[in-house]
Amino acid sequence: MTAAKILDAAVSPGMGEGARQTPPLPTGWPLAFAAALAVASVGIGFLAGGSVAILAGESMRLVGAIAAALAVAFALGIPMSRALRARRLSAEAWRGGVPVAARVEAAHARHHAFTAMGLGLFLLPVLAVATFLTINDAVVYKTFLRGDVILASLVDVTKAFGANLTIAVAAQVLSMLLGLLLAIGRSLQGSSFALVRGVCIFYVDIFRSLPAIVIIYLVCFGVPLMGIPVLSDGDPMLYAIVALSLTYAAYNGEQFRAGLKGIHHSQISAAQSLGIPPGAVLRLIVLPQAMRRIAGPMLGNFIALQKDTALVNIVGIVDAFTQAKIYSANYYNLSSVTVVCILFIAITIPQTRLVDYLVARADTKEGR
Amino acid sequence: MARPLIELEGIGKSYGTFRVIDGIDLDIPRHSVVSLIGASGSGKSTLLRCLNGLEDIQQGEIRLDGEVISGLGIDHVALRRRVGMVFQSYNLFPHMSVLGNCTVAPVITGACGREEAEARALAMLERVGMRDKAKAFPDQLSGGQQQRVAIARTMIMQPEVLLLDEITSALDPELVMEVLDLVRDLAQQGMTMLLTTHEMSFAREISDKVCFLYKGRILEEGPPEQVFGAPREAATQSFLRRVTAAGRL
Ligand SMILES: Nc1ncnc2c1ncn2[C@@H]1O[C@H](COP(=O)(O)OP(=O)(O)OP(=O)(O)O)[C@@H](O)[C@H]1O
Ligand SMILES: [Mg+2]
Repeated sequence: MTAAKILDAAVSPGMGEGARQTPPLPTGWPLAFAAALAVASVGIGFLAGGSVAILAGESMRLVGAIAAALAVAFALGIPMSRALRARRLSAEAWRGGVPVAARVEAAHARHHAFTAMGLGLFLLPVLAVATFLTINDAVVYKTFLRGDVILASLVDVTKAFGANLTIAVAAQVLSMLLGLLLAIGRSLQGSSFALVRGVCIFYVDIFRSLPAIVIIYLVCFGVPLMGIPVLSDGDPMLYAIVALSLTYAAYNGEQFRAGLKGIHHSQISAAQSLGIPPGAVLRLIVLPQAMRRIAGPMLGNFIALQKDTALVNIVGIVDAFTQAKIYSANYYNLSSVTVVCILFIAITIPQTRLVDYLVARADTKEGR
Repeated sequence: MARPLIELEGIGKSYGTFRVIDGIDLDIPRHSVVSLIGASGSGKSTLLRCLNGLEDIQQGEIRLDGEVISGLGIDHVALRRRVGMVFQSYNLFPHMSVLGNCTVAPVITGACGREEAEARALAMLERVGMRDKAKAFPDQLSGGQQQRVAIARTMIMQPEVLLLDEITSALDPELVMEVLDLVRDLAQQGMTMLLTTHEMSFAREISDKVCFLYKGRILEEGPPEQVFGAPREAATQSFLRRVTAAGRL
């Protein structure tokens, strides 16, 4: 027997000469990591259980803590014990010279270890939040989630949320129109339009640099201050819409520009070669294709705009946030602001799902 | 002899210092088929694009039926209705059905009303064997079918001359024939055509005249038997040797 063959025999015991076998995938570190997570989860379960149970009375504290710790230990114990058993079987199979079975059992062990890990990574933050909300006599919970304050403010805050929606929708329409003009202006060819291109680039650079809150402040206080007839006598809502339109036109313009650039130049050549006039090429051929591609990112901008409508509270427009602040001052409690959060979340989540869908569609299917 | 439908006289064009087209004279008689062959980058596509104003030229003059169609002040939109062009790929508008692709130009240019445009489109689709796909969208068609629709779409505008720029280059080999058959039909019906192609045997068969482009010039031109059978210039010979080696002849 040569030295190499002796080595092979050592790696694959019982496999006979020459049949070198790769050992199973490691199970040690996944199990160790899962075990560490399990210990941490049980510990924080103990804390969370205690601080929740104390709300039902001081005497319940220890009972709650132990019950929660046991529950967590049980939940994580099942996959952990399965993983350990598979690991043992794997080692036996390997020693017994059945490398295929050894690998299968190792794969099982890893699967169960990863399951335990996943469960731990889920329980850890959830239990931490539960602890945070209830600790110190549930002071956090009572500050942000007091039912009576939520109920009292719900109607007024929801009504005021109408202002946010109005501003968002109006500013979205205006900023898309202005953005489209900016994109077209910037893509005009030829030396005659060099200055137009320059203006468009300058506009986008400026408004993307400035914080929306500053623009709102400048427009909403500045325009009335100037005392120009008609212009200065507008509704603050109107100024807020203008301010946000100016800001978001820059973002939407860049979005349009990306969309226009993404259209293959052959599409434009083909359309021109059919004798379609330039305006119609843009309207019928380029824009419809561009819109399909940028619908996702554009909706993303719209969501950002919706959230930025809360900034108008600095100029005294009664939006949901302003209304909620009035309640929070009266009740000395922030639960009314939680209502604002819930409203924004409620309108945003369906839209983000729609963005995901649109982006996925644009990725998978060119065109229609 | 009757005046050629298209006359090119001393055409020159540069991109910066790079001379893409370097003095080209060419006549295309009515009802004839002229093929441009030559290595990649020799300026075939550029020359075609000059003919319908997609590119402008810096020297020389192009005439269509005696009328100057190059230089400043040309109404390109009107010109392109007389000079149709089909490209290698990305011809069809992906967001429109086959019928929509065929009717958008006649309707928007006011060539005819929607109903007449649809009738004409369906008749033309019938001719290219695509009538049953009128409602389909481009991504539901094979490459060969897409190119046939692209040709039909251009023919609906009733152009006086058709420019075809390597319309089979992006196709799988088994789809090339159906497109070439259609071009052959058009030639037999007397359509004036200027085309670039890498299908040498097709160029040889269909053309009345073949031009070998070399570094922006027509190095050699003549009937296909002469250019393919007995090329005079060394560059033509070596080009033909290379395409033969690549199995294109
Ligand atoms: N817009 C442009 N700017 C600069 N150079 C260009 C431009 N368009 C084309 N060219 C150059 O002009 C030359 C001729 O291009 P053209 O597309 O006409 O070649 P071709 O003969 O059609 O080649 P192929 O067989 O590969 O299609 C090439 O070298 C190309 O790089
Ligand atoms: Mg080309």
